[in-house]
Amino acid sequence: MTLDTTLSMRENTAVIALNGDLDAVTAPLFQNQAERAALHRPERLVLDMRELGYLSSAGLRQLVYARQKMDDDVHVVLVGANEQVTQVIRLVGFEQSVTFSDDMPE
Amino acid sequence: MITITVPAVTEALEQVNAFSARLATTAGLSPCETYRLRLATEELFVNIVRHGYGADRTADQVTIEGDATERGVWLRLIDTAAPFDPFQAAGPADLDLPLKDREPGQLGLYLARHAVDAASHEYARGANRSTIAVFRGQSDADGRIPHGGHDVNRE
Repeated sequence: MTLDTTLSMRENTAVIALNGDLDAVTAPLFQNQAERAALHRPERLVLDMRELGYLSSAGLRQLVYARQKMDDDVHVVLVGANEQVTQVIRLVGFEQSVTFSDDMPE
Repeated sequence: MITITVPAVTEALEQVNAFSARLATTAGLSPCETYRLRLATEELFVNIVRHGYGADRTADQVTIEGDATERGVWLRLIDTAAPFDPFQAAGPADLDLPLKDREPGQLGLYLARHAVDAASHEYARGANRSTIAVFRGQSDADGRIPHGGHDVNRE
C-alpha cells in the first residue's frame, strides 16, 4: 500500500500524478503536493489518475482541500480514473466540479 | 471465521486491508466488490481510530472478525469507544455544492454506508459491534455503488 506522487508545472497548469493507492495513510502525500502546486497559482489542476488503483474519503478530503487552496476559477481535470474511483467521485457529487478525461490535456 | 486485533492507529490500516483482501479472495468477490469491502472497512476503521477513540492511541485496540459465506463476505469491527452507530450518523449536507464551497470531511461514513450491501450495529458488553456485508453479484447494472442499510443476517 503505497502512493507515489509527482508534481510538474506546465505553463499555467499544475499536474499531480497519483500512482498507487490514495487512502488514510497516504493522503498526506497528496496534500503535500497540492500545497506545493497552490504556490504556483495555477489556472488548471490536472490529477493524473491513470495509475491510481484506489481512492477513499481521505483522498476526497484532500481534493476538496487542494481545490480550496487555489483560486476560485481553477479548472480541475481528472485523467484516467478507473471505474471504481470514478464511482466514488460521482457518489459524493464531485463530478459537477471537475472534468473527467481519458487523456492528458494539451 | 478469522479474527485480527490491531492497535487503534491509522498506520494499522495496512493490516486491516490485508485482512479484508483475504476474505474477498476466499469468497471470490469481483474487483468492484473487493473495492467496496476495502472502502467500507477503511472508512469504519479510520472513524473508530480518529473519532471513536479520539486520536491515534496505541493503547486502544480494534478487533475485526469476518468470514466468507456462500453469498459473499461479512466483516465486523469491534471497539470499546463510546457507543456510536456509524450507520445512523448524519450524512453530509452539502453534496450538491461545488468543491470550492464544501466542508472537507464527513464523507467517510457516507461512503461506507453506500459501499455495502447490508449493515448493522449493536452496542453490548461495553463494545461497539459494526457489521457489514458485501455480496457477490449485487452491483447495479449501471455500475453505481449500491445503497446499503439493510440489517445483516448473521451468517
